Amino acid sequence: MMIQILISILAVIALLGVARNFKKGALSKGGLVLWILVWGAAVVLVWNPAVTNHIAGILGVGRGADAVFYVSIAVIFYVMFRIYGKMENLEHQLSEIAKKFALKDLEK
Amino acid sequence: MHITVIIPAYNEEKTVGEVVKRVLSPHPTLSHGEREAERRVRVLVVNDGSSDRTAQVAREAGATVLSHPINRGLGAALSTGIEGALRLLHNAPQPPLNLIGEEGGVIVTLDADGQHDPAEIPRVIEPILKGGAEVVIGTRFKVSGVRCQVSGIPWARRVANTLGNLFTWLLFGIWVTDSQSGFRAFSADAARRLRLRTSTMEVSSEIIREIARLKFRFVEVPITAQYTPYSLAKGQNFRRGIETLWKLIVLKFFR
Repeated sequence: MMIQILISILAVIALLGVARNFKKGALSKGGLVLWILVWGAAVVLVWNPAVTNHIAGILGVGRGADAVFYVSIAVIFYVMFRIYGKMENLEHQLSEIAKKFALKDLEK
Repeated sequence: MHITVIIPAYNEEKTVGEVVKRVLSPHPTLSHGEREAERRVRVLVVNDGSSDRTAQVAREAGATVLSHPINRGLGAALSTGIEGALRLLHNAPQPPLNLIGEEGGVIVTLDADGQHDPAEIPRVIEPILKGGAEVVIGTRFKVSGVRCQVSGIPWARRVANTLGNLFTWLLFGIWVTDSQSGFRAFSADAARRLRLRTSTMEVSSEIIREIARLKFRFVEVPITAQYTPYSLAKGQNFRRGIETLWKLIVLKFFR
């Protein structure tokens, strides 16, 4: 029972944070829906692990817990890659701004 | 004939003034039989967001200073320096493309920590002046079987450099003996075609990639490097080496 309660509490806390961000306008409607789905799924799966076995069967993975594991890693890698790409872009744009500033020194 | 020497500098107030002065002081080998007036040397220090008096010291020594408002790294500084040098050369962002080689000038890059000897600039730019190369990389290691002065280079640096060379070769297909060298020369035309995107140390290998991509004629010229406790404390270290390697892989596969 412990893990179910723990995950549920975590989900509630996370969703409260998400709701706050949405109210502040820091999160889009799509983002709100996505996070509700993610945490909702986590709660459903942790209370009813049999669902994961069903998904595992579809994916051709032996156990439900394994399926959750594989999918999570894939999602995390994808998200990390996206963030890395965005960061690189930001770095480049920041350097371009610094360059623009620096080149102003020539116009004087 | 214009020679623009770009010196990227981040908190180098102790050494940058001396380096600038040595570049600008008329050196016997710089005239090389020509009249001094025919070669105009300009020093462009890119002050990369230093918190010390780097900009002031460099200006007092006779350099033109371009200042980044914040620290952005070697790659960003070089990119700013090259753009600035090209603007100074032609006073236009898009000069006519027929200005090549001798007519278009030469751009040299040099480290601000004093490890390179400005007296070697004539030797480094010679292949470009003679039209035999568009890009020159000054190498601290051997060239065509002849060993240069390697004695002063710490063991760890040599290993790091060999690894840098190896990965540069694996990723970009060009073997150079000193892929991480900061002493380089470009014809203005070559410099104009460079597309440098990276902000930090991996720019050295990005330049090698550009040499491969644009099929520049390029040679390595032996140079000496003076390592002082000061220059060793700055520059690369192991953690940053790993970061650089990771960024090189990203550069290769994700751009």
